[in-house]
Amino acid sequence: MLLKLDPTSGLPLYNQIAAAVRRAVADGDVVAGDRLPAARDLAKSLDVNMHTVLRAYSDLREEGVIELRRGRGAIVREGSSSLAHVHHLVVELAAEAGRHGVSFDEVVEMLKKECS
Amino acid sequence: MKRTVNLYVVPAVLLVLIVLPFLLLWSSLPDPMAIHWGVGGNPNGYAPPVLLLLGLAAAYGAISLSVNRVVAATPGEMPSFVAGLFGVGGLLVAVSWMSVLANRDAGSWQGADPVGWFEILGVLALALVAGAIGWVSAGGSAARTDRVPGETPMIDVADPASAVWSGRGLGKVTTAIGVGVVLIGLFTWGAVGLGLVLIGIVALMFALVRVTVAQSGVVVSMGWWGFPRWKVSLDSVSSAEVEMVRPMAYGGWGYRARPGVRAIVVRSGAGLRLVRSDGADLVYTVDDAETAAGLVNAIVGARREKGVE
Repeated sequence: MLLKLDPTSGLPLYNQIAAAVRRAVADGDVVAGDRLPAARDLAKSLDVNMHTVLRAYSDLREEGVIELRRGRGAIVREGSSSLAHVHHLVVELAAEAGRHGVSFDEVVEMLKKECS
Repeated sequence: MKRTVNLYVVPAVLLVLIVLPFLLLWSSLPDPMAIHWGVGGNPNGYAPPVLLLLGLAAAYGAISLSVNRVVAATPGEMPSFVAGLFGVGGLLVAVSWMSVLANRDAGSWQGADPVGWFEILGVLALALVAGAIGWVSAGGSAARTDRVPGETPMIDVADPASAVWSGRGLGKVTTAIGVGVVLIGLFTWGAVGLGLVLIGIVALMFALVRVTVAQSGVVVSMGWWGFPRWKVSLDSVSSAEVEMVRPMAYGGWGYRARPGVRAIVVRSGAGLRLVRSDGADLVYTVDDAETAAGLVNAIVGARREKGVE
């Protein structure tokens, strides 16, 4: 499994890790049933604390992208690719909005208009 | 020719040497004869001579045949196997002669000569010498399995410094054996049971290897529990290749040290080979080794460019 981090995004590292997994899932590089790297291994290879990786993994679980099972590690869930794709766009949207000084409420308004 | 001598002629001669003392001194042996000696050096176990003779000969016959079967399927010299073949042969020859000579003209097994540390050291020394002869005869450390350089794939990533690859290799047979031995150990009493559990855990450790490749190095971890875990710096890695690993060419499964290469072999098939400029190459049998090697080459290549600038 190949993950691509984006250090230029300026996001905290755990966000970068989660974003990399989301992008890999959205692009189809990673499919349902695939296993994410063990948190300790990934932490050691990135020279970060294991809890940074675990935080990314628990975010991904809350979003429904992966399943965390004791002893089996983090497994990509069925039907996660469309979810991850949308989430990926939302993250980009939030970043763009921040960069251009568009407020949270304005973004929500725009989304509401689009979705109705 | 040398293979034939190492694998057939020498073992046959050793087998004859195992049998020889019985043939020469048969009439002077007590029946039963002493076959085991206690800590104090006095005989404390006995069996009919014919049983000891057949036991020693059958043990060596079986070992020779199984080693031959393994080696026959593999080209190239195999120093460790030949050393084992010679060493065990030497050990059994020494045990055979020592037992027969100690029982010679003893009258009964209790009357056999005592066997002390001196004799035991002698037997072990003989086995070691025989093993060393086998090692040298098969080419020793100069013998190297012929290696066709594998492909060195590349992958196209915008920024190899921020990419991470992770993958694993699973040995199914080793897993089954490990689980089986642990289960048998759990239902066996005492030290034997504990020993079996430990052996099973070691087998399970070598049933799964996980590799993570990133800018800062290659992290390798063993077993489902990920221990031991270590990191190999990419500083000394000059390139990475995909290698079709044949366990027999590495002398079996598990951690394998061969001349110029250290390998973790959990299964046969494609593996990642890290070619190092200083120190031995490293080989890990993981799935999707092509992407792994590609990322290593991309990282190493990007570093080299930076160094040139």
